Amino acid sequence: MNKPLLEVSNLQVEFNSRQGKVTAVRGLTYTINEGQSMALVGESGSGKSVSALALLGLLPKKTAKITAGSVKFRGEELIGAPEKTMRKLRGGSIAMIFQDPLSSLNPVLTISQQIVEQIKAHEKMEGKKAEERAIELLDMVGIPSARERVKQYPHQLSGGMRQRAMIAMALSASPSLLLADEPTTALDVTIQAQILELLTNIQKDLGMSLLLITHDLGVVAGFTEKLTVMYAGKAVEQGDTAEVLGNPNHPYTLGLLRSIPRLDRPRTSELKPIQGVAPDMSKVSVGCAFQPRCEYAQSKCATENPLFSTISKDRYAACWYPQDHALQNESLSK
Amino acid sequence: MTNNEPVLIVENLSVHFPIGSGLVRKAKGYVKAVNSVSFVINQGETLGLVGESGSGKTTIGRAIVRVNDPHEGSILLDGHELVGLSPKEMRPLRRKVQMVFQDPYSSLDPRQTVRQILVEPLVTHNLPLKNAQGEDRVDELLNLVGLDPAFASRYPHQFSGGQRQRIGIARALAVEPDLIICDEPISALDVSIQAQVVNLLESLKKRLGIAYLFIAHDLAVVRHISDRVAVMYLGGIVELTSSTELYENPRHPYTRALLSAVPVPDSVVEKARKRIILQGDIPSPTNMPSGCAFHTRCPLRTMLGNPEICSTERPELKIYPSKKDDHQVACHFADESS
Ligand SMILES: Nc1ncnc2c1ncn2[C@@H]1O[C@H](COP(=O)(O)OP(=O)(O)OP(=O)(O)O)[C@@H](O)[C@H]1O
Ligand SMILES: Nc1ncnc2c1ncn2[C@@H]1O[C@H](COP(=O)(O)OP(=O)(O)O)[C@@H](O)[C@H]1O
Ligand code: SF4
Ligand code: SF4
Ligand SMILES: [Mg+2]
Ligand SMILES: [Mg+2]
Repeated sequence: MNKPLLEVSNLQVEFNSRQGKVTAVRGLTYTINEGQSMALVGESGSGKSVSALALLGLLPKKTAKITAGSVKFRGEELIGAPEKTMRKLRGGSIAMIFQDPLSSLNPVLTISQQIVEQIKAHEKMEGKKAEERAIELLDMVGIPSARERVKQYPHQLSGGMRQRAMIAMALSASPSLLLADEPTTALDVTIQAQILELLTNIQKDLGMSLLLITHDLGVVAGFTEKLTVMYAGKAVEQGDTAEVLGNPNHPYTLGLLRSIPRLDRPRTSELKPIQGVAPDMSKVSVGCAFQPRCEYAQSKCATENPLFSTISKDRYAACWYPQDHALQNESLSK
Repeated sequence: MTNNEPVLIVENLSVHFPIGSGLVRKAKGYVKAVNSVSFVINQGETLGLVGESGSGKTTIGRAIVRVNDPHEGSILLDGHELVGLSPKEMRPLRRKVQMVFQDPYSSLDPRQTVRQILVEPLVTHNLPLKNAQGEDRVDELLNLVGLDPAFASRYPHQFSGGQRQRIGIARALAVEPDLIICDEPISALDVSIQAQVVNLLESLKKRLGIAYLFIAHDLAVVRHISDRVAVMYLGGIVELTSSTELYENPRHPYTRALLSAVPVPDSVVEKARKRIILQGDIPSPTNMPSGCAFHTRCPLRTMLGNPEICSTERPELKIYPSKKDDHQVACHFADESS
């Protein structure tokens, strides 16, 4: 089980458009083992989606460029790999689901047609058989009366059902890795719970690996084993999910956990926000990108960039002055 | 800061939207977005309103500011009946209730400077541009929401999401309302910024004694900010009580499912917990289930062996005897949900 499936190291992505240069990903390193689930969290614009698109070779060719780093899947380098290899991987060994299922489903094809198309792209299978497989998949993701539903168009399904159909489609080629970019952000909390429970059950049953992009730390705690926190295009903290959430080392992770009200803690009188705003990704940053908002910053932080390095066993952070706060024993907020 | 003078009394409010009706054609049916909803908001109080997408939260907010026309019911604002007023009669009262919206990007006119955005409501309501101390009102408002008055000459696109939301709040405050309806005011913001805006709303409430109707998805934020909370399902309130009581002692099976579905950022708690996973999707408000609107998904009904009354009689929202607070529940079997 501890065999690495996906190894990303020092990934960097740049956009060059008329509006100027944006360095969206500035150094991202992580490994996902076979059967493992990892969450990627960070503010909007911190580079989560761009880094995922980069893995699949789905960045816009004209404006985007991977300027450094390496992405290995089962030991094979994907950066610079021929388009043919990438096409075979996408929807095959690596599948992806997005936040908005309506925009990623084809509105003029039935659910059946879309799943069958997907199956046939990766496997030789006759039409009738592929249709049966589509129904099986919809059944597996908990769509009631799958045999009828499969003949419907995306707009005839509810948001939750569309997301299930997307999952069914992603699973059609039995991928080893599923990338899910905010798969439940558009859904209600009761439906979110249904979908995530489904996703992680399937993940365990099939021994699939999962990269879950989200901004919800509750979802992270409930559904992932490993966690990477991004800030301004970089990995700033990484480790076992329970350990990072229980005892964050990086001031950003700590600030995030202290700023949210929590149903598992007594009601507090006042929240403790992180002051200021995230930096503009079109600007070059000197020193630590979190420095303007960091309550632990010292003079070195403004001029020298902290490297992403080991803090303790299997724990990484990019900070000159890592913290050690056991949040279980801290009454959060003032 | 809450005192028990109501600023808003909503009684038996229903809002139905006709489907497929034109000027001449008759409606084919109705979207029953809100059905016989009653609640009170006291001065300086925050009432939280939660429920799934499409449950009617925004529709209630829009009915109070009279963007939506109620199908029946009464809305008393500071003792004045709003239902049935013409836009002209509504104007002087309109000042008393303001709205803050979810999307800080689309709710501000991109061609107006911050000063123009804030002066407009003052002019509309014939309010002075200086306060009693002779201070510029725009400066005063910007200070109030924690923005530098020097920003007044800038345009909305020059601000971050959180700053834009502060401008939206300043605009709502300009006319000194008694009640602000906040419709998902933080859900478009980053987690690290949400707490800044929540703290701002709370400090304004303390200083100015404003009441809020706070509509949101995030149940932890709603618990934090609200004095009382109403839970909606398919156009009706199913439970209403103090924030503390609701989260400690939820009685309605829907509230229980909702609370159990909220993940918390603690792996130990998460591994140990049992979620109540509701089956199926929320039904359509064009085709409401008979009896209790929740009966098609209710785990308590199943547990009780599907009593007939659940599908034949709509349970009214009524006081559930509780030691601590007024606690209203709409379920025939509220006693049994322990
Ligand atoms: N102008 C309208 N015409 C027809 N139907 C409408 C109209 N406005 C709202 N509805 C319907 O009324 C119901 C309640 O909608 P509302 O916007 O109040 O939900 P909500 O609780 O605010 O949901 P969300 O959490 O998604 O914002 C929905 O079924 C919606 O589709
Ligand atoms: N096609 C694009 N062209 C130019 N800049 C882009 C493009 N896509 C994303 N960006 C920029 O890259 C940064 C990271 O974006 P993204 O990965 O989408 O963030 P998130 O963490 O919210 O998923 C942002 O500053 C964003 O504006
Ligand atoms: S390096 Fe300095 S500024 Fe950056 S997070 Fe650590 S303490 Fe804060
Ligand atoms: S009335 Fe019946 S269906 Fe409705 S919530 Fe109570 S038990 Fe469930
Ligand atoms: Mg994204
Ligand atoms: Mg709404």
